[in-house]
Amino acid sequence: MATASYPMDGVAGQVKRPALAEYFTWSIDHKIIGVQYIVTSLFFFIIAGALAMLIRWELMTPEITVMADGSQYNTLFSIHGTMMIFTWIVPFWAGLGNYLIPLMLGAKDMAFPWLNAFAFWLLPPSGFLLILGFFIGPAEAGWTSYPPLSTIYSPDGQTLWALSIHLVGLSSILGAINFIVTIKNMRPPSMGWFQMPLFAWATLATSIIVVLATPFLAGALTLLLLDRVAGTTFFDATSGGDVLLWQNIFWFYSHPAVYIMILPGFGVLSEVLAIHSRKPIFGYRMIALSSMAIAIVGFTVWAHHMFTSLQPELRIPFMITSMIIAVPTGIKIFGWLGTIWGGRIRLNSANLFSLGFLSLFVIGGISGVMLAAVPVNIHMHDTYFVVSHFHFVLYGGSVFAIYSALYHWWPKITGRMLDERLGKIHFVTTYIGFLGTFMPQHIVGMQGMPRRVAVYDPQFQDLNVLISLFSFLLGISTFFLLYNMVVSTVAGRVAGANPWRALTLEWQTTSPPPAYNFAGEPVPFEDPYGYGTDASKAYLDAMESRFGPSPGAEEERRPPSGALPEPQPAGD
Amino acid sequence: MSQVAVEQHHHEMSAEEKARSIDNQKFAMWLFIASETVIFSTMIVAYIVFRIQEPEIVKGVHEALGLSGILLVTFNSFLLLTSSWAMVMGLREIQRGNRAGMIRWFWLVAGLGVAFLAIQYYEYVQMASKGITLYHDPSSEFAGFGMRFYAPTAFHGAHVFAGVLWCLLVMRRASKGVYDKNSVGVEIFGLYWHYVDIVWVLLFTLIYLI
Amino acid sequence: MADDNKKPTSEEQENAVTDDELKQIAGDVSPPDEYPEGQADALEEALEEASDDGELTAVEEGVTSALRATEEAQDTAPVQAFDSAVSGIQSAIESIPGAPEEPQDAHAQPHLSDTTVLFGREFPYSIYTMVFFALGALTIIEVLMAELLASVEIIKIPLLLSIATAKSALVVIFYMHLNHDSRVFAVTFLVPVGIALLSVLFLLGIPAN
Ligand SMILES: [Cu+2]
Repeated sequence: MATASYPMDGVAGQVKRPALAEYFTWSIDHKIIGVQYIVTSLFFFIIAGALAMLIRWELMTPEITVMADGSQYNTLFSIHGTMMIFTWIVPFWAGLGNYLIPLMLGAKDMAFPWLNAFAFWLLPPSGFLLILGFFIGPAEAGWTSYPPLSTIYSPDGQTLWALSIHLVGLSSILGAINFIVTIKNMRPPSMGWFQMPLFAWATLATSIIVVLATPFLAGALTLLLLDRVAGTTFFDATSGGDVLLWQNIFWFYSHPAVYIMILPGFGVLSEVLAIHSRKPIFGYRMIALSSMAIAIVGFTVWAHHMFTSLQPELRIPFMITSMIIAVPTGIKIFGWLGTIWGGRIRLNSANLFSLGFLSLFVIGGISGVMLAAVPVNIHMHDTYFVVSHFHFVLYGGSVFAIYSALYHWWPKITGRMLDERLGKIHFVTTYIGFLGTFMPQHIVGMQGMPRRVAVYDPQFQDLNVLISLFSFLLGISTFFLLYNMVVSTVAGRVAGANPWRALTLEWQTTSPPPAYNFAGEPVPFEDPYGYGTDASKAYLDAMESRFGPSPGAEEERRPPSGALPEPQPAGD
Repeated sequence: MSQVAVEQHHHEMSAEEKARSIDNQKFAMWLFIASETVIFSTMIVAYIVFRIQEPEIVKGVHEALGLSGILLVTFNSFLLLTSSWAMVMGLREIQRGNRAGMIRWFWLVAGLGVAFLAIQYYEYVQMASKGITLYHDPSSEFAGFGMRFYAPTAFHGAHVFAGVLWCLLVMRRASKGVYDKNSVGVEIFGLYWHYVDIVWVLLFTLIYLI
Repeated sequence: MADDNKKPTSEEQENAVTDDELKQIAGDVSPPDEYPEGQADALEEALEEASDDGELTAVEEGVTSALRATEEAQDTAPVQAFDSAVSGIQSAIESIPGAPEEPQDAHAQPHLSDTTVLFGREFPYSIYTMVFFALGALTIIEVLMAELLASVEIIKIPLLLSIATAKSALVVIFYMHLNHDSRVFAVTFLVPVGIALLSVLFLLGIPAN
């Protein structure tokens, strides 16, 4: 193709963002759908976050003060957990994958654009079904919804809850099928399996888990719905049913589901840390294959959630598998440490959140291994230690990775930079708020404070007040991000095609990318993480001459003070 | 970014891209089948556990059905197996370029699907009259069997129903010549239909014979 | 925002790289399979230069020596064994047949023939019809077995389960064309069957209530 056809619609900042109306209508463009997912999930994140604030407000005192009664409090944590998991983290990753996977693979769109849009449009109704529950008596059985709490003792909102989760489940199965086909079939000829960006590997592993695990949830929910509306007794032990059947099927889905929530975050970290440390990723194949290992081993550990309800002789095997699954995650952690070690680290917001993830996720991972040990688990079961553990991996892990992804790919999605100063304030307040909220929960948990209660022993009040205060800081910190997003959309600095000088294909087009993403066949660099070599410098320079300079990069070009000098022979 | 533009893009697909998109659709169908397997397994496992724990109740149901009941279900299984055969024969016709032949076979597919559903409905009525109910009825001698029987079979029946609708759609599209050059749309419907058939093969043996 | 819309200058246009040049630059070789070499030495040098007295702190020394140990470890037998295992898996993944290369018309379709050769004999039906006869026969055998062996469960159940599996296999292999389609499809079909069986067996092992 001749030079004249480049740059496509012009240089940096010249490609127009899609009109606002496109985001509110049926669109089959993967970039629109990606943004639709992301914005919808952010909306539910804010609602679920507000519920968390109410929970912490209630827990400032050991008596019921804010809520009318205990069952209203049950509602709070049930909907908080359900929304955060099913309408925030899971769909956010679907949205990010939707936006990035075709770009990273140099494709024009996903394999099935129509199916993609359909999967997205299942999401808003499902979130609104959850909210609708508030008007008819919402679900009270926690996000795990164990019978008989979820069958006999729950109001009608529980039925809406089950329908809502059914919709999300269908949406993510359809999305995952789309991802698998796209990743398998739509790569450019010169990109082999092991030249894919690691985010694509992570999305592939996630999608395999979704296709194989989410239907378990769908089956269990169908039986639950029958129990609720058709008078069956699948889960009613008093009428020939089996309570443990729900727990088994639910965790057969839900343990793999924690990897649905964290694996894409691992993918984000592999991108962000390598790009912002200007070094090749350490142990590419190990990181790629450990995602697959997690996907496989993840199916063999579910009963560690049931150590107190399972028969005792099954505890040890599940303790062993649960500890084994920490190994592939550990491999990744060391891969990332090896990546940043000695790199020319840019301490921008994107990288700060990834580094924050590293520090927090290790703590959450270690408390996970502690909980996998049966004796510790029996002692800590259903205490705040568990709450602390899964918030460390889901907030300190998934949400930090989401924040990192937002700062990193925002320039690509909108064509504008997010403000770095606000970003750093966001990071510091989030980090401090997070540690202040969830660190002390380890302590109250070990001292025996049970989770899911509004009335607790007054001896825990001091720590709970402290936790609540920090959680309010954590709540406020989110608004720095939201404000930053609004300001950037209206008046942000123009980013340019490749402000981070990254090698993966999504950066080798304009920001935002034009319709069908690339003019002509995109040419991937031989090694997606080959930073610091002369070849990669030549490639990036060639791309810059093609798409014009990236004004958003100006600050990035200055060598940061205090960082280690580049160990590689030639830097870019 | 509009739909029009995307359709235009599809017209420009190269031969290579077309070959890939064939693979895309079949691969997606297989992945869908993969997740269906898992959903059915949750319902089937509920039945198997019951069969192991309450063999007497299941034996009672079989006796209540009697030989005529079993033969009726066997006949119903034959309908589904025959429809699967009609399905591949129809696919064979369209791959040979015989549009009318394919539509003839597919009328048989859809008709057998409807007949299957009708017989299943008749059988449900018979079952209900014997006190086998979906809801838990502690006074019935077959307590607990009903829900574990109706859930998987009705879920399967819903798949047959969806399949019949899909079959009619495929026939309509075939009559417009959509599949003359590229029969993959028929093939993925076939995958679905055969899969539903396989599920019935297993349900039939598990529920009525064992 | 006026300056957002800078047109590319003619100079920029001239400097732009053509596709062919870009392909040259991007290269078409795979990334190196080995672990990065020489990082430890480079890092140590850099750290020495960066520190005031040219001495390394204990932490820095520890990390460089750990890095060096990693580099040396790649020459040892276990690491190389692991590497060759990974390459084996990689080539196995790559050898799985992908999308059909030929367009639909050229697609070889052996099952379109009107006769079937079985056991060296030619039958006047297509393979589809032969399979249909087999399915019907197996169903009749199943029902007969269920009636005849009604009281001998220990034989009846395994026998019926194997016949049902055989029927399913016939449909999957011949009607769903797994015999001459991509192996990826077979894996896609069999993995969830395995997982479902696993969960069934597990739940069977647990006493109810
Ligand atoms: Cu778990």
